[in-house]
Amino acid sequence: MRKRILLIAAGLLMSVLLSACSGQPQIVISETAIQLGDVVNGEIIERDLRVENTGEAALMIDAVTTSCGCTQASVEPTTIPPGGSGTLHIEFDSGAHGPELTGELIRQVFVASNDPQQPELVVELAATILPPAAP
Amino acid sequence: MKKRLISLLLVAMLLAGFALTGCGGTAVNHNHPMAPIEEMPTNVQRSARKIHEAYQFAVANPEVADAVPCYCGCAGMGHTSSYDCYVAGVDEDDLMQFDDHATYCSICIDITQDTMRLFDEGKSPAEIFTQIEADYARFGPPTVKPETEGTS
Repeated sequence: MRKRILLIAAGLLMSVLLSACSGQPQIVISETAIQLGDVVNGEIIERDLRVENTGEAALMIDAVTTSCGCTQASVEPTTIPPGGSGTLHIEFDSGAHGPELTGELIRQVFVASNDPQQPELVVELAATILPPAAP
Repeated sequence: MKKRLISLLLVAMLLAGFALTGCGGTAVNHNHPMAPIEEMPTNVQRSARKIHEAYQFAVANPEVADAVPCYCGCAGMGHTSSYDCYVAGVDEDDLMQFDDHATYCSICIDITQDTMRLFDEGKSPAEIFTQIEADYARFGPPTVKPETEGTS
């Protein structure tokens, strides 16, 4: 009798664990460290990255924010079905801090989603800002 | 029966108290002065807590914010310290002019939030400078203090 109860309890525990592991969205972004190289101050750089849902439930993009007003980013569509994909569009304005800015920079894009393993995924852009060309 | 009812009521009150404490969570104890939120510009008052707290801190602790560099790239805009991300100066009537730069710069806000934490931990401005430099220098060139007269 006791053995049977233990077996039933173990079975219940297993099913709870399995249900917790399956049916979750999983976000994958094609690149999370982007080297923009040399960028002349004033140039606007755009990048499109592939956002995939390799999980088993719909991936919902809750918010896309950046570390700087000089960087805009958005994901379309904001709901990606299992096996589907979308696009993370990033626009970096290297002249947003004025023409005097030169040197190495890092900017970050934060993608918040319902992926329980990676609720906030960070994409980093690195660039070396060069002085604007003389008129 | 009456005793039991009173016990139940006490338990219910305790539970409600715990629940309310959990729902609150807006009160934060700071060991540093904070400028009143009412003195902040409307867009700052309406911003996320970490943003308006950073403004309130910078305004109330200019000597600390001014001792900390910013690494967001704002040196290119003429900023000379983290303080400049929040305050643009004073007008002819001696009224503080705010800079909205930090409302859309999370590097600026993170630097100030870390400064607040380190300040609360009792770190000196020099120690805060060293820590901020170690954590944020990778993001961009630092703001630099202009050389004052008599400085070699």
